[in-house]
Amino acid sequence: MGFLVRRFLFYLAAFLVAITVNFALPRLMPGDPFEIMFAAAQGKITPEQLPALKAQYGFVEGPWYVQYGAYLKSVFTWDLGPSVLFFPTPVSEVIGYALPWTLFISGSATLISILIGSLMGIYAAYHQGGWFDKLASPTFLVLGAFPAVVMAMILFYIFGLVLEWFPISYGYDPDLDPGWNLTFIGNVLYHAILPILSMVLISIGGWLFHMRNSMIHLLSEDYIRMAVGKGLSRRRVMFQYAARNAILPVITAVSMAIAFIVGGAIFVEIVFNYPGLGNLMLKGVMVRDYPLIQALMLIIVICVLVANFVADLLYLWLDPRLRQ
Amino acid sequence: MSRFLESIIRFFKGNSPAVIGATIIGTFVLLAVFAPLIAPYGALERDPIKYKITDETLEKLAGIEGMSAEIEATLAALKGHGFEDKHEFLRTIETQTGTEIPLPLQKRIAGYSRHDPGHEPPSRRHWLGTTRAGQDVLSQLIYGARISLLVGFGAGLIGTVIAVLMGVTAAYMGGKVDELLVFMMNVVLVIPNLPLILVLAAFLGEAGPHSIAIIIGVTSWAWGARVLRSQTLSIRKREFITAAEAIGESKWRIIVVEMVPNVINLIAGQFVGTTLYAVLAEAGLEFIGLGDPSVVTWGTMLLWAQNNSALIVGAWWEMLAPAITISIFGGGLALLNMGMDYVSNPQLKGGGNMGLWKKRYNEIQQKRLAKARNDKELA
Amino acid sequence: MKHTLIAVLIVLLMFSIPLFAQKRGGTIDGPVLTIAFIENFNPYTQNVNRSPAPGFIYEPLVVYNFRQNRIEYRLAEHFEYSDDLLSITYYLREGLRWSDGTPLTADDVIFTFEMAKKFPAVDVAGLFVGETPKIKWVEKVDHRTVRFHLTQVNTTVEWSIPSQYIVPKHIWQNVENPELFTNKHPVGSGPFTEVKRFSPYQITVCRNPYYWEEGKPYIDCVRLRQYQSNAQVQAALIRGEIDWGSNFIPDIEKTFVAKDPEHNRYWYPAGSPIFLNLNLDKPPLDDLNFRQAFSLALDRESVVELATYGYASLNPHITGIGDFFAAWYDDDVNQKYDWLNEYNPEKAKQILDDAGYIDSDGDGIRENKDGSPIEFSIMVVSGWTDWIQSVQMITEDLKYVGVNAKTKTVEWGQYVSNWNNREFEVGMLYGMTGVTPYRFYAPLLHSQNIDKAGVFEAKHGWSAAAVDSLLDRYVTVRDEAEQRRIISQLQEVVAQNLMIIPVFSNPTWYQYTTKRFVGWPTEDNPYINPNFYDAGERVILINHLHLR
Repeated sequence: MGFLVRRFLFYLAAFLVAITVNFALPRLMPGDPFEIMFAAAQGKITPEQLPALKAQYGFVEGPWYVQYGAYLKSVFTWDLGPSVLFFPTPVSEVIGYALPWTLFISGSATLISILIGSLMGIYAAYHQGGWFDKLASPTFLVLGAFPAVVMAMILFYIFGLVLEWFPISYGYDPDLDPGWNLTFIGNVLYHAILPILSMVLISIGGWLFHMRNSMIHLLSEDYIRMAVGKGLSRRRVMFQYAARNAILPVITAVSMAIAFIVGGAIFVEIVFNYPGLGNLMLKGVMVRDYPLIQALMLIIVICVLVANFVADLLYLWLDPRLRQ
Repeated sequence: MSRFLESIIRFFKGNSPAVIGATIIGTFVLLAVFAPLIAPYGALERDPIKYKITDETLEKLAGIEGMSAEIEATLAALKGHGFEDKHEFLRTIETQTGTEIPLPLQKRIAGYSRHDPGHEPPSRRHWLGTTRAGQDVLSQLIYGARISLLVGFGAGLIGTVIAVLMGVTAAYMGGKVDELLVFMMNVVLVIPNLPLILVLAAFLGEAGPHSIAIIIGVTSWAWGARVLRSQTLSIRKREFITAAEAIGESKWRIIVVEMVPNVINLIAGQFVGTTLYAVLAEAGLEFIGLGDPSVVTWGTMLLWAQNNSALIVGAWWEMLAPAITISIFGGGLALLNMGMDYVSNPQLKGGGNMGLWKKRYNEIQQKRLAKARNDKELA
Repeated sequence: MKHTLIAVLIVLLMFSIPLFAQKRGGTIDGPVLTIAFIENFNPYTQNVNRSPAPGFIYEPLVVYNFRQNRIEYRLAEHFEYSDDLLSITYYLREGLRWSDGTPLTADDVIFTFEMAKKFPAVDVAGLFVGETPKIKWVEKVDHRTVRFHLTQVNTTVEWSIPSQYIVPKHIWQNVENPELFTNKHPVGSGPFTEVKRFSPYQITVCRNPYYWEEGKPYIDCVRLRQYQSNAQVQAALIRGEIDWGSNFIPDIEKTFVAKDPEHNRYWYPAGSPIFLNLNLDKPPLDDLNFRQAFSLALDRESVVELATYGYASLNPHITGIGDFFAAWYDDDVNQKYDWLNEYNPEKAKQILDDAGYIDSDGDGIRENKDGSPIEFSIMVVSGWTDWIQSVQMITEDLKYVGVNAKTKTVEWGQYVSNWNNREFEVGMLYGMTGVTPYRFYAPLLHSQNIDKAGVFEAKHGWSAAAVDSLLDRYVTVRDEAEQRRIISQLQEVVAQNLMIIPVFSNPTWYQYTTKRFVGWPTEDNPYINPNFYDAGERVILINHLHLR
């Protein structure tokens, strides 16, 4: 259990560092954040109103440690103030709408690309130097070098505008009532296909190579040779012996990649007008909705930390050595 | 020197990914360095506006105040003839007509015969076509390579230097320093990089290529530092380090002279990886409008193409040319990285031990079959 | 029996003729640029750009129709000034009702303005703010008549009063803080008051059963759909998901009209004037000669053609106001100054030479009179690509006459703070439009605005006491001839001093398809400015539309 406690303490510390960065960012940037934030509204807001509004937005007057204290309190009470863009809706509510969508597409895209990528990696490793290895590996390598946003644009244009096969906006048809029924779920999947596909296409290559390389590494290990020597079937050797152990480094890579995946989702969401965090992020930084941006960074960090923790648990489950 | 050359040759020999990757990168570097010599046009140079009389012009001008039969005849005679200078165009009309043309009419003639440069499909003059503003796409790609490569390599360099400093120092110093540095690496690893870059780029106010390179560099070193640290740790215990310590060499000298050269392949890998990431991130940021669109880079080319609805109006070249260029360059980097993996890990190359394994497997299968047949016969 | 039947038929026919003429029903789809809708129908906190509350749910008292140069009376059937111009009296229509059936009376109007006085945050018209509030008090004359007593004579107050949306007293009087009120089940006075469906991507509002205008609206419902960029609106227009658009769409002929030439149309009348604002504290911009050469060096035609796809309008004159205010042009002023609006680089070079800005070190770039290099940058917002391209072309034009200027793209927040702190040399900016050019000139020229945060127009720093008093006088006169005289003088002030360099007039973006609905304003029938994102204009517009 020492392992888990250690990891947990680390996450807590990382969280504190992250929110400190979060706190410092708008304050380190040039210009008075509050002044800039309300530039568009000025003329309407009188000087007398400013202090009240400032407090409402969580801008506390005083030395930095007082502000920092107030900020920490707002983080831990999840009272993040109202968004400027959506005034007077609280930031937490705005994010509450968007978060599930981002988790949904980035989660599915990650799972799908790991699954397909790893299977292809196993196949490529198994037939190392074969036609598949020679053709698919470099192809996906080059696809992986496409900027996410360009991949999304091209799919948007071909399947959304020219062929009109898929919708190009929203998480579901707004004429439908959300609910746990087949029509709605089907509609959600239908809307998610293109965004997920764009993310899968660019990330599949990474997993392919990861799996291929660690498989090749493992296949030369003695215990695999022994298993083969014992006359176990190919399939059994591949999946039960080699692949199982090759998954461990994949899991490490996933926990490292999560931060990256969430980032990639931002661009894809912008192109497909998908209701996730990406659009909020972009608009938030454009109009300098500081409460919103800070909350977004916070929630993304939390997601990444939680995902890392889950990866740790998985690791623990798959690698018995850690359990002692 | 010859040993250096030898090692380079050894690196590329039989390593086709590395050869292809290095060729691609090398070509791009050459293009960028010699851009003014290679590019057929300037980066922002537009095809000139043309003044040309067409049927449409004549139609629009017919019956307008001040038009006379003489002017009309001159215009008809000049049909299809292109002028690049407005004054020359109007002067030609005047001399050919032989009378002075009133200013308002001059203006309308010029207005109706004006042809602005626009999207032009790939042709002999413009191998990759032109943008909507009449700029040569190929030239923009070549000039754009200068900035895009600079951002990529710049960010790669910054990221690598930080990664080496952190990773090697942590491994060599050990103890509290190591713990602290590892903690920093892990923290940076879990802070999502792209959103942070996005926020920084936006908050900086004027996110030119330099700031983008720096932002990407200082936010993407953690993974490399971690890998370097673990690799250095394994070297740390080797004899030559112990020997150097025994003869009293300074810590920094040991780090720089003894340890770094031994992890050089990892450092190169980190550099290539960060560069690739930086090129992609730059393109993404500029595409969504967070860069400086007045600088020609591959990312801003994409931004303008998107803004001009290049795909929708059928000017696919304006969008695809930079997109494909980025992925070729990125692919080159990825191939180079793959080649480096092959060198540090020879078994990853095609064939290799898998062939052996397969052979042995087949032998075993054969034996089993033979045994089974044997058993059957016995039964 | 037979006769009765015929009689019934005739009666039916009589009633159905207007019905045939203007078919009722249908749901019209329009785009809204926002990240997501929020369930908030408070007309004071929800911007007209992203909420149906202003205009659709809440009807204005009157609407100023610039295209037709007339006042459209809505909730009010008439208003008048007292002889001393110190009060304005509004007369409400007879039989007005809220969408829940309650009568709409002077009490609601009084309540609305008193609420604005009490809560500055909902004083969207700015009537009660500042040291000298524009309105002293609001008097109920009778149940249909309200009189506004002004603090001092100000004839522009009549423009501000209608922008305060009248809300029902019987509902809002129970609201503790109107700024935070989300008004989820709005009771309104406009044509569409019933919120049928709400989702973050779509709002459907349907007809008000008690709407005051007989037989209107023809359409049953308006469905507003969420998009987050012009590119997406363009895609939606192409796919036929929306009936109108108000967005910049590149190559509209090829991308939109060509998809369905019979139905897909657009009309881009002139809108806000766009100009370069020069910081006159920074040499050489303080020199009128230099500014005149600056103006002459610009090939505005190319800028309009290339950077704005030819959609912007070329301003025929140099006086700041563009074709939006074409009715106010003054021939005498224009005759005198039109030469400054020409593209004449040779003349520009000559003026620069004569004024002493010569290339003293032979690098092809001119220097200041004292030999120091001329350096300035033109600020523009990153992401506003048509402006960026315009500025790029302008710097090329300047380079042609030997002046070294750079494009400087800054992010919006930086743009705002640069204006407010006057940290710029030249910046591209939009001017105000409104009922009269006073709206444009007051923020541009009145010296009180130079230090006022948020009024970017005045940041050139130029001022003159005479001009201040002209502007101050404007608001005290109601005589149109006199107003015109003042506006003409202001036009001359700009042309003469060139503290701004006008570039073009932004178009009012307006695309529509007649596939399902007709009755759109067109160039031939410009019954209203085609703006769906103005509370007043959209009321008039939507009431004209009907199924084909």
